[in-house]
Amino acid sequence: MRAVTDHEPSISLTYQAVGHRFERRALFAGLSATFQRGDVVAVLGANGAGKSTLLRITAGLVRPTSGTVDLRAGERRLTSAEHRAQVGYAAPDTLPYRPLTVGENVAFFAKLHGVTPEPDLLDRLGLADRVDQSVSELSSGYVQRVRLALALLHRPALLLLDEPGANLDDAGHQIVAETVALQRSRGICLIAANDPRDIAHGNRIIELGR
Amino acid sequence: MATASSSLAANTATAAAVAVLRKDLLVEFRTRFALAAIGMFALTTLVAVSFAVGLGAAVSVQAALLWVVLYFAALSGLTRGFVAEEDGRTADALRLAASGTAVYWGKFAFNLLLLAALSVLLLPGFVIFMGAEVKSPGLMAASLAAGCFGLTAALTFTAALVAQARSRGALGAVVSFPLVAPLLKLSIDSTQAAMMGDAAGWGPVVTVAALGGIVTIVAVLLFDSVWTA
Repeated sequence: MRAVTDHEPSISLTYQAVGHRFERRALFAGLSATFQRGDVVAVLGANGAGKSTLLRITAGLVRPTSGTVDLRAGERRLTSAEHRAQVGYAAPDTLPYRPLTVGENVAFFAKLHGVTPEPDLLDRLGLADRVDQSVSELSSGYVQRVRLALALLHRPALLLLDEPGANLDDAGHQIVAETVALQRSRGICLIAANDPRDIAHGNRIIELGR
Repeated sequence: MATASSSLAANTATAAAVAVLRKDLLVEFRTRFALAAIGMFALTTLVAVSFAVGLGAAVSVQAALLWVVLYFAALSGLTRGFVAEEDGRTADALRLAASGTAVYWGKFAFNLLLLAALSVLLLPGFVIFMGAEVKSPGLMAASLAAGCFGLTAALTFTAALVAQARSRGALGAVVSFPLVAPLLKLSIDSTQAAMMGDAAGWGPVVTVAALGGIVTIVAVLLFDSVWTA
């Protein structure tokens, strides 16, 4: 599938009256907003407010109980398959394949996306010297970097980062900052976080639970 | 243009399916989880059954036991494919990166290879430990191939259906039963015919292959919805 960002400057993300509930407990309701290329959106809220769920809904992994989420390239609304293909998603509830090496994970997901990763991707994320290391042998901080690599390798139009600074040292936080800055030029980025360093990247805000 | 783009999509889906198969083989080579599960189950059951039944049991009993061992070994290993993706928290990344069709074909091919390898290893064990005699080796090979194909189609699809359920072990067996029961009955019939050298066994072989084909077509049509639901 072609990368929307390479050809289409007017990518946009629209929430229309989006709400979600788990059985009787309403997480959020009536969320309406539109974001354009260049927007970095900080998703804020207390624990349990639904930040991660909103990111999963935005990725197309969970269907909202009300409302719609549209990713558009110009005027055209992307199909659900096109939508998912344009998402880069890094979250604590996703993991690389632990028996595989970093390089094997990157090669596998690049093959699925039908892309060749940028040559400097692993270098940018501080993973160049870990290519042949099994993910099961990595520290949690390096696993987080691999999550970022897998989310970025197809140059997604929509980058969704759930607690991107979790388990990262100062160098790791700098990588997140550079990643968000790069995504600003490529498309839209949503960051769900409680860490002020992660929140500070946002120029727009969604605040849940208020 | 439409032909060119659908051809490109097919090539991409095929490449993704091959990538899923290669990944599963590599993970299996490193962890040996499914191999250990089905291999040990098959070996233990075969030895236990041979002690209980001994050499020279009725051909109908031998054929039934062969498929009972194959089925339960398959149930213990083949249904792991999707569960492992959910438990290993890799399923979401896979959902975002690949179409359901590509994932289905990759998992299907992996399961088929696993079951084919098991049946190739199990048959000589049956001949040795149970004194089974195969008078029509060609029919036996066809019977095993069609049965493995049918079992793989049924178990791969039902494994995907129940992968996100809580009590998926029991649920998988229950959901797969209506699909698997006729396949097992026909496979036992054709295997028995192969042991006796009866050419009438080709009929059930064709029916099992057709049933497997139907299940595969239905699975491919429904799998995207199941996978992304």
